[in-house]
Amino acid sequence: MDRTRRALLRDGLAAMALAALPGCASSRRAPAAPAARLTWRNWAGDYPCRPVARLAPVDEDGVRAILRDGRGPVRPVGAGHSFSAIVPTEGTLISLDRMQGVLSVDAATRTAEVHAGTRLHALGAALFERDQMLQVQPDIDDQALAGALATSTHGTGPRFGSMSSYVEGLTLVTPSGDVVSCDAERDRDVFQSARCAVGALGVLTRVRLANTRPERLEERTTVTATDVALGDLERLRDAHQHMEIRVLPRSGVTRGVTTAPTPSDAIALEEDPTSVEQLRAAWAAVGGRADVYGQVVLEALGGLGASAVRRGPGHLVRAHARLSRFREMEYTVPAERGPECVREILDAIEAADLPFVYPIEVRYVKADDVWLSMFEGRDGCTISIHQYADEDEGPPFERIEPILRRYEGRPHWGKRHTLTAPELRALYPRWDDFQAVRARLDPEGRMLNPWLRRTLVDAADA
Amino acid sequence: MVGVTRTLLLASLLAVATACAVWRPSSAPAPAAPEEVFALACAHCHATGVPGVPRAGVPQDWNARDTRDFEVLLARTISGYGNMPPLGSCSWCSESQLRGAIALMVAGSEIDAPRRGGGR
Repeated sequence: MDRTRRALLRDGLAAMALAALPGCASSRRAPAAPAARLTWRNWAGDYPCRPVARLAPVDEDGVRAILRDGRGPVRPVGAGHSFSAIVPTEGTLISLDRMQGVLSVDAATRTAEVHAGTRLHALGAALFERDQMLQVQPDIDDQALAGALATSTHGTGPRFGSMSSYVEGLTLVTPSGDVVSCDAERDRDVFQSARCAVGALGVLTRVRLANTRPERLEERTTVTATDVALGDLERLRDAHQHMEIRVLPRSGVTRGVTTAPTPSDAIALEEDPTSVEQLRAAWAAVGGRADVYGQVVLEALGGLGASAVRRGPGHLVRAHARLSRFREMEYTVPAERGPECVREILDAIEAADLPFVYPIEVRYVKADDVWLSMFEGRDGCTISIHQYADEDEGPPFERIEPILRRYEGRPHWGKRHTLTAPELRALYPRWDDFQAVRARLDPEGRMLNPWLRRTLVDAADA
Repeated sequence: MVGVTRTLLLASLLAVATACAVWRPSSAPAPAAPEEVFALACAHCHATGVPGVPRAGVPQDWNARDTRDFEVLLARTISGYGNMPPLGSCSWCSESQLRGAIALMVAGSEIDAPRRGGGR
């Protein structure tokens, strides 16, 4: 079956799954009986926990009952695609998997209210059927919407904010079991906090999203020299609706990816999801000789200027399959300092002769006003450092993170970093405002786990 | 045979849609049936022909795997395997629910029939 048929089938199944759910979600039932004692792990596999209960309520009342009547710590879980220890708890895990789907759409304003548990791949398909499309979308679409918003997950494009910035209203079940619906007018402090709250304020159940009209997109990936790509980065950024580069360390080669609307009805979604595995195979084959490696990579990619095109419905073009597990660290530096920061990172990798070949992803995101968003108050350039999950991420991450910090980088909430709350507090002007909301909604700290205590709470006392 | 199995699988998903549309004023929620677990956690990869991923309801895909032992498939699902997340992306599923979803997908193949019972 080719990729086009697979994508269409995927859409159909996603729609079918969602069609099943609003009926389920409307029934008034208490939370499910605990199904515990299996170990939960995030997708990367490095953060396990054994919760006393793993629950999947089927409606908002079920969420309320869990929070109101339960005891001990609670953490919401989406797809488990975070690379930080944001989820693990020995208390109760709440999944919103059984609360998915589109609740309503407003064609005039192109907004939609959706269940916060909706997986992004299903949401894309469901919105497409309703003549809407997400403004932005990450390139992995497995995540639950609530999880993506909790970490200010983003796409790329200097005129596009993170997903959190397109939330027009939301409904939150607080740790005491109360339901708070808020927007820019009602409970504004909660709204500004809950659009990116690392799951520390309660459980997000419904979200009203500002969407756009569906577009057919064409994604063009072009091979270029890394020096040329970094020198031309800001021009490319401003010239394209969506643009990113994937720098291939140790090779001198970069793949530039631009995405723009196309009038074409053709659907061509093929890509090679094994390409990252081929990179390390090539590195091993040349015995770690960087000069030879660069030539091998360039030849394998078809030479400078070679390009590949994917096109089709926007929500399908934006998504990319990942077939091998990895770990990721990402920082957002001020947009204007992005190219300089990437150059310094590449120089450091070369200087240390690190056997590090996983592509570095560089993207741009517009500033927003969400209090704990990495893009709060400034346009950002996001720099994502990945490592194969079966290799040691220590050497590259430990060498690169100090560079990202020197550029006033803000770490992605769902990805690896070593910052503690006092350090994070210095990066976020509205930190104390967020903490005031958190103290009001969760005075007992039920939504905290050890990682959140380290990254959120210490600063409250600082 | 493949087509029939696949049709039955899709039909079962439609049955879930119908069943879930009925309001049930129960004080306790019904545990998710295998079809619902499949639709929520498995279908995104196992119904779409992702390269290297065995397709639900296509026995030859499962027969071509390196194991025909149901318990091995279950263990891989629980711990994660390849790109498949731990617990098969079903963070709330019990072992018996995972068994049910796997059984649905491998139906008609030479994979051992699932054993009854199993802990949570």
